[in-house]
Amino acid sequence: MSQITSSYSFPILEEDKFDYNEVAIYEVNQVESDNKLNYIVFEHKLTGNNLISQLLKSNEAKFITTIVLKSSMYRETTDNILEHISPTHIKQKILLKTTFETQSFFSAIVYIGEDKEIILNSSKMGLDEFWDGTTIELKKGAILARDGWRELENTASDLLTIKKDDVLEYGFDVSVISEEGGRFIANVESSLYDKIKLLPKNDSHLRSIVIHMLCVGFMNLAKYYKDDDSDLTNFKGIKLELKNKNIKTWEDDEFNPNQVACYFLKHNIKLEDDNE
Amino acid sequence: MNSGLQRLKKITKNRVESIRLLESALNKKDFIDYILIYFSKEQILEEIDFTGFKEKLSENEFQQLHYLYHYPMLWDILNSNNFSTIDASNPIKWISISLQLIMNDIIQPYYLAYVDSSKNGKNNIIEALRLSEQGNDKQLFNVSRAILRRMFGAIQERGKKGIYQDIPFAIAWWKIYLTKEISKQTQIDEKTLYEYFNTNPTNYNELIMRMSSKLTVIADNNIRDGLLKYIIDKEITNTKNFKEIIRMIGIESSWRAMGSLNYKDNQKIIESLVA
Repeated sequence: MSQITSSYSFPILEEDKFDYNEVAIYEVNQVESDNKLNYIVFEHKLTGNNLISQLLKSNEAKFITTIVLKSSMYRETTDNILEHISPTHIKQKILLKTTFETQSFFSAIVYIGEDKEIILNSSKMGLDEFWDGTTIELKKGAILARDGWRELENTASDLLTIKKDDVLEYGFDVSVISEEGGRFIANVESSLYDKIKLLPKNDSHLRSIVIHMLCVGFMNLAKYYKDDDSDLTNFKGIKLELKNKNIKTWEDDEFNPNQVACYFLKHNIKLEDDNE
Repeated sequence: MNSGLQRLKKITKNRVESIRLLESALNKKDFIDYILIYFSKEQILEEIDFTGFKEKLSENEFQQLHYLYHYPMLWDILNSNNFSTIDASNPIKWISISLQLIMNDIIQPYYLAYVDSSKNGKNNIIEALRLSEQGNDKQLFNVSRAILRRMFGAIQERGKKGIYQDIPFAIAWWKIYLTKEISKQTQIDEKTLYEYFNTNPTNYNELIMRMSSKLTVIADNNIRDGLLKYIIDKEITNTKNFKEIIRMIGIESSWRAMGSLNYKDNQKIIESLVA
């Protein structure tokens, strides 16, 4: 028996939702952008033959990304296509704002055809059988597939993860990992870790430890990634900021890790005369 | 720079510092000296060059800058500084502007001390100091907070919306910015938008509050412009109705990417929601 559902009850392709069959996957990845620093590139790819791929092929759906910079009230949705690989696979250019604030991105596939009713058929549309025979009303702008919110991490301290290390005998060491866009990992000896865990986030001693960690992190960044940091997409915003301020980056021989570590945390350092 | 801001933000909870702030605000030199305890003069003035604003303001004018006369001056001067929405959301920029307004005799420091219930800043300060001497500090802290709100939004209490809603020059800048952006897309006459924002301040505040914090989807230019086109066309001034429309857009946006549609589509969607 077919039934007409409410306007927002229609199959959506997203993680942990099972409206579509297992072959259907919507992936969005941040990819390299030819060393240009004022934008990033998102690659959108829909896998599988299904209702969404059919709508994309008939130009009744499109890939979008919404960019949000919350505290300056900037929010914009783009549907630009930098590279059209196929109707279900594109690259999209996202312009970045020059700011320390975290920029957030939401990517999706939306319906852009005229409002219409369709009867769902799981075998033809790559859907779970649950939807068989259901009539849905597709409305212009309906989100057919969604990626979660993602953020561009711009500040160095955002890119630092502090971990307890039971093996380390004293102090800490800092490494740079390149997975998921790159990050500093500070492995900290257990008693020091337990102490700093109790410190309030604005504690001046914690700040100085963090600056020291960042300094070591930037030294290692320059040491290991000077010639090729293409995997470290999370650091793109920092590099942009440094270049805009005419500060040397890890690509340059004159790069000063200490200066950069202090630069990115200077707004958090508590001065002596703050202790009123 | 931010260290100074951090310390300045705290003084509304400090009786001694609040008294110093209020006493200093009765006199230009004292007030400048007091603020420069928190900031290096060179650094704070380097934030922005606002010396081009030469129109001396009355207390009333400061509280409600005129959209035909003062707005264009403000806009042109800040444009010449490449002022952006990110700058306009930065409290340090507004402290710099406030300080220059006082240094250049455009406003008196006590203009900053107005509150909604009493618009005479000097009287507010004198009365607050008198009450404080008698052991009643409530007014002291209110006026101390008011001065910081008018100067940089007192963001420690109100978040960024304090900038958009409390600093007279920031309110003016954001109204101009929104007007120009909305007008560019929708062709709504700029004068109509200025008059709408100025005669419906609670709706402006609601819009700004939603855009900056609680429902940022409203800030999407295609949604914002569709909303204002609908509001202006239907002459909706009642704040309750205004809020209800925004609420409906919020619900609709949970399944519909209205930001991916143009403002005309969104105007139609809003019409269908309200019908």
